[in-house]
Amino acid sequence: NLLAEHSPLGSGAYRSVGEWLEAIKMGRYTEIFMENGYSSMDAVAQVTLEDLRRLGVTLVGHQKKIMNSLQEMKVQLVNGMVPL
Amino acid sequence: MCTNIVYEWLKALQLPQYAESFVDNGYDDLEVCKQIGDPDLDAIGVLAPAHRRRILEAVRRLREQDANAAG
Repeated sequence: NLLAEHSPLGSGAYRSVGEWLEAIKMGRYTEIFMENGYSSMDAVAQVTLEDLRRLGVTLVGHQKKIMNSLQEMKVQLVNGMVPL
Repeated sequence: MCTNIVYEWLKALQLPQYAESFVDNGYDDLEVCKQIGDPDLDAIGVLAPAHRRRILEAVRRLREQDANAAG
């Protein structure tokens, strides 16, 4: 069942947090995310700007990049076939 | 490819070679570029002191334009 594999972030584009961060060239934060409990894409979906600051993502460009990517994934979810 | 405002800005500073790295690091519009300081330049990989000075000077001008527009 393909639908069962869908994460809250849509079509399961990324299988892991590391893969996602690498894809947006923010791979340097993978370890920090994993160590602080953001170890699945489901958990990452809840991340806020405040969370990023707490994790030590202090560069505004990097904050923007990560938040934009999360936002895009959420938009894909809303526009997709998966019911909320 | 569409021209990015940050590419145009860097071209005006005669430092277009950094445009890709700026955008890759999320510095893809002038709002976010206004907040650039030394740690941001470290992450982007602008190492040459002369280039860093030129960019930080331009960042200061961006902020001034803001202040003038607000006043």
